Amino acid sequence: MLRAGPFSDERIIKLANKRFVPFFFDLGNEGAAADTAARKFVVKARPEFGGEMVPVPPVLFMTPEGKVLGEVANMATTAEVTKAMRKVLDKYPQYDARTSSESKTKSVLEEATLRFELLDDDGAYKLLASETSPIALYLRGHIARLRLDWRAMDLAFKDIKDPKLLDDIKIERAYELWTKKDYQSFQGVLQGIGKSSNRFSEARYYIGIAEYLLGHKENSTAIWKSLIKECTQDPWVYRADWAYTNVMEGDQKRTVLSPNDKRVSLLNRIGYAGPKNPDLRGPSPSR
Amino acid sequence: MPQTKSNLDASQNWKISTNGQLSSWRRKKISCGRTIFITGFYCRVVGIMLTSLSILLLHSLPQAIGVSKDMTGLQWVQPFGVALKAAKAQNRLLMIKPVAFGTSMDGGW
Repeated sequence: MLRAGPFSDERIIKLANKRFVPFFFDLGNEGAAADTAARKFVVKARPEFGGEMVPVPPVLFMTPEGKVLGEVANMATTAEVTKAMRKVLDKYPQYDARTSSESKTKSVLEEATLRFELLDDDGAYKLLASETSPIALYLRGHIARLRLDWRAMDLAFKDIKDPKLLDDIKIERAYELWTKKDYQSFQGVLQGIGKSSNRFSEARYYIGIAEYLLGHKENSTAIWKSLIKECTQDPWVYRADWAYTNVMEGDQKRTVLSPNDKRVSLLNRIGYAGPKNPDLRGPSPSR
Repeated sequence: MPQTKSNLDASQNWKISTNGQLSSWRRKKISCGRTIFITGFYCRVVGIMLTSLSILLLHSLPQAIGVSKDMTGLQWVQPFGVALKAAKAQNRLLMIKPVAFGTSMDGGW
């Protein structure tokens, strides 16, 4: 679930790559990602993960010396993971220090982008106040959209004429319709995003979600299926597979996942532990 | 923001590092050749051998293959020794996800 959920979130990915060293491994000795040294390191700090039967392991934020400084549950929402990451960095600022390249003098846009990636939205937004380049205006509008400030978003987007950003703006504006639960119009806007667009998989994913929320379950699964089969894997493909698996599995409750189970996931995932894809319930600030 | 697809996952980091080592080793060999012809021939043979060796190495590392399938954009650093060194060198925290219900060669977890 983590990879299709929080780990597929644009902001978590950027913060993780900038401020952490992401690492995963298999606690078992037989798995493809088994790693004896990692197992020893983690079990020394958290002995409960050393047995045959273990609780669902959280994401651990650890020093190279083996001290656990923070953690977040495996089934946490995107908002909870974001909060946990920021919390550990705020509490231990020595691990949040800028790199030498980040510290060098840079343009206002670069500084604003860095602040945005480090989740300092207010700082980024203020810096962008006097910037007029299309990309700066776009970033300002994007931040406004994440804050659900539609007026500020409109203000930022109204003067952008760069054709390279038109699909991005179209999708950002569509999120207003999503938030207002106008799924029909939302879907209509997304239909205009072509296959060559860098936002195509995102658009297809949400067209499927809109279909589902409009009660057209078969259409939604068909859209996700074609997205998963035809597009290069990316966070939206992962999210589509999560939604597809949830819808196909219906209300059957699974509390145990096993590599021997029949696979429903089109990506051949073992399964999705924890909550269902929250987008299936409509817009939510804490997805 | 307009999306960019990061391809810098851990397996590619590993491949880049390996190729770098092989290239520098091959450069040393090139400087030992007596004639252009011999050097060229020798390089081709060594090149073929090294390519085969690197393919064999790649196939013998299940972690690298598994990780290469993750396309979230998260730059997973594997194996653990490399991640630990990176955390020390960059003064960063390790963000560790232990997986309890199995990992497969195709990147499943």
